[in-house]
Parts: sequence; C-alpha cells; structure tokens
Amino acid sequence: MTDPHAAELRDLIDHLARRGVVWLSVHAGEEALEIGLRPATAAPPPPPAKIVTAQGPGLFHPRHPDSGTVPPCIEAGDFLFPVAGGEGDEPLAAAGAVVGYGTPLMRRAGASEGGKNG
Amino acid sequence: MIEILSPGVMASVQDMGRPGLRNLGVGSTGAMDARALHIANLLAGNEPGTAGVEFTLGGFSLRFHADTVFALTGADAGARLDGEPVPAWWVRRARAGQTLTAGMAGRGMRSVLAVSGGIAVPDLMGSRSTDLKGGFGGHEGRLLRAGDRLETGPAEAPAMGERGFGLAAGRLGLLPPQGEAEIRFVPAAEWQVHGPAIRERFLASSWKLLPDSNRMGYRLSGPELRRETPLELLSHGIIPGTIQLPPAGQPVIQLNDANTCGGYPKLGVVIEADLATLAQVRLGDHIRFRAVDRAEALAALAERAAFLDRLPERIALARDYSMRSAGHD
Repeated sequence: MTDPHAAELRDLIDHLARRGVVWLSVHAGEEALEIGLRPATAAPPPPPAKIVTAQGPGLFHPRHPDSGTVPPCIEAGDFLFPVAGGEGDEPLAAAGAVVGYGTPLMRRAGASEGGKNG
Repeated sequence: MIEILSPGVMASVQDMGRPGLRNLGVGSTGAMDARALHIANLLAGNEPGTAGVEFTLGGFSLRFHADTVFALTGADAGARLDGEPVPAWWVRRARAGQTLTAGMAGRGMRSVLAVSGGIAVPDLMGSRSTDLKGGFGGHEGRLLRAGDRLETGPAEAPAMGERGFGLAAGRLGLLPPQGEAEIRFVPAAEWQVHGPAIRERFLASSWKLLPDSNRMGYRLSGPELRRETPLELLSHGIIPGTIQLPPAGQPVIQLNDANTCGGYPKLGVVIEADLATLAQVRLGDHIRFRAVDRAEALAALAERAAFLDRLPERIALARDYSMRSAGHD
C-alpha cells in the first residue's frame, strides 16, 4: 500500500488491536471495507493511565523540596510523605498547592505501575 | 546485619561518644553531627544515642542482609536504595539483599545512617564510638573498610509504609550550610588578652576551612592574627569547639577526636548548638564567627532540645500517616 495515509492507518489498526478489536468494517454507501486486525507488535495492551490522589491534607511538592529528586511529596506538619510517582509523570496539582484527601496529584506515565495513591 | 561494600572517603561507627572521661585522657569522640545522629535514631525507632555509621562526603555503598528500617540524615549524598532515591532526613524500609549507594555529597560533609536496633559493636567505657586516635571502640577500633559486616541489635522495626517518610529539613533549618556558615561562639579564656586588633580581625574575617581538617580539628585560613609577644601557657583541658590561636596566627577549632588537653591560647568556644552546623561545613568553604554571651548559647541549646523533645511524638504520628497512605499502594 503506497497511500500517504498508510502509516496513520497502521497506527490506527495497532491502536485498536491492542485494545482487543479484531475486526474493522468501514461502510460508505454500497461500498464496504473490512479489515481483520492483528497488532504489529505482540505487546499487551497498556492499562489506562492512573491518577494518583492525595491521601491526606498538606502541601504538594511534585519533587522532593530539598533534593529536587523523586519522590513527589506531600508536606504535612514537619514531615514529607512520598506520593507514588516517578520521572515523566504529569503533575496535576501545582507545586506548593494546598491539597486535601482525594485531590488528584499526578497522572502516571508508566501506566503499568499505576493505581497508587499518595 | 549490614555489609560495607564501600566506605567512601571515611566511615566509622559512632554514637554520642564518651563524655566524662577526659580526666583519664579519654577523648569525646562520637558523631560529629550529634543532632543528625539523634534524629536518625528517632526516625529508625531507636534511643537517640544508639550507635550508627558516620560517612564523610558520601560515596559509600552497603548491603542490608536482613529486612530492616533505616534512616539517613545529615549531608545529602543522593543516596539510592536499589536505584530508588532516598533523600536525606528520610526513613524507610529495606529488604534483605537491597543495596544502598550514595554519590558524593552535594551539600554538607557528613551523612549519618541509623538502622533499627543500632550497630551492635561492643560497648567500651559506656560508648560504642570509634576512638580513631586510641584505636579502640567502634568496629575493631578503626575506620570501616569494604567487606566489614556490622551486626545490628535486636529490635522490632517500627511499622511504616514501605517507602517511609522524611523530615521537611529545609523548613526546619536542618540542611547543612551553603556558602559561608555563621558559627556562634562564646569569647572566653585568653580572648581579652589577645588585644582589640586580633579580636576585631577574627570577627570581621571570613575563615576558609582547610583541606587538612578532620575529626580531630578544623584548621582555618585567613588574615594572620599574630601576637607581637608570644603567649605561652601550661597545657590545660580543652573540649570540642575550643577555638585556639597557635603562634602562626591561624585559628584551629578542636573537635570530637582532639586531645583532651592543649597549650595554645584560646579565643573562645563554639556554642554546643552550632557544633552540628560546624560539622557539616565542607572543606574549602568559609566560616564567619559571631560572638554571643552565655545566655544566648544556653537559649540556643534549649531551643534545640525543645525541638528534639517534641520529635518522638510527631514521628509516631507520621508513622501512622505513612501506614495509612501505604494502605492505598
């Protein structure tokens, strides 16, 4: 296939196949295109991105406030409590923001490690 | 048990030292940053004076041979437990077989490791500290080497989340100094004898900590404070923090591993509350002295004591918080 959209179609097929779609039918009037889907790679489907939420009140630090490294922390009283997260995760709360129980803090980049709360 | 894989520049077993034996010629020894050891022990669930390991300038590596809880305080050497960052002033769990490694300290001079149960070297004259000059105490009376295995005492490691928690060290004023450190001292002994010119230059100058400084004493470099007429004294007792002025005119601060007596004239004594800060000044960095009176020295000590007295209760609450958070992992 030499169509300029071939690469995009390949990406779409891979994307759908990783999510378990095995047959794609496209109908346009009398015409129909049916494609059986097999992913280009054997990788398992990635789990959906996980949101890390605060498990208590405090100040949110996307990085450790003194060392500047991971882990992200919630500062409560004299202490820092680690929030699940690492390099590449997307902060959802601003640095220094006051957060409470359940406040979304981070969107995990490595979804396979997801599901942890702070 | 922990196994030293690399001691870094210099590492030794230290607790709060051997006070009260100077009349026998036995020096203080003990952790240079006693506050860091005190807090590390509280975090690890130990009594404040329990023996730990003092590392100098980072660069160390060790392996845990049993599940335990450990705390790391003092200088931030970018430590990692099996690759996962462990910030300074942090306590967390370690599993048997895990390795703690540290790079060179980016800020501060000495890191302190406390392990639940403490380092179980023999108690000698009321202390487990290493007396490096005398060659006794600690682990075989010497600096730690690669391959040394240190037993830990019996203890029930405190409950906490796997990744533990830390102190907000920056906000609490626990971080080692950066740039010029202000060190408070009480002018004493021969202070008045030295005359106004020497006294004023001492106070007005920024003193560089020379590379040949160590646990015995800090050598300082700055303007020469030479006396026109030498002042000779009989040897007399000195304590950690004593600031001497040798004939060459460059001050020396005697520290934990110093001799119990000396004969140089003195300018004063660093207040006890600032010895922890002094211990973390890096070689090549600068010190400026500020004279205070005895009342201010005691007030600073009382303020530090009050902070340390409050910590155990707060740490207990932090462990609870840590456990609850970990329940959501």
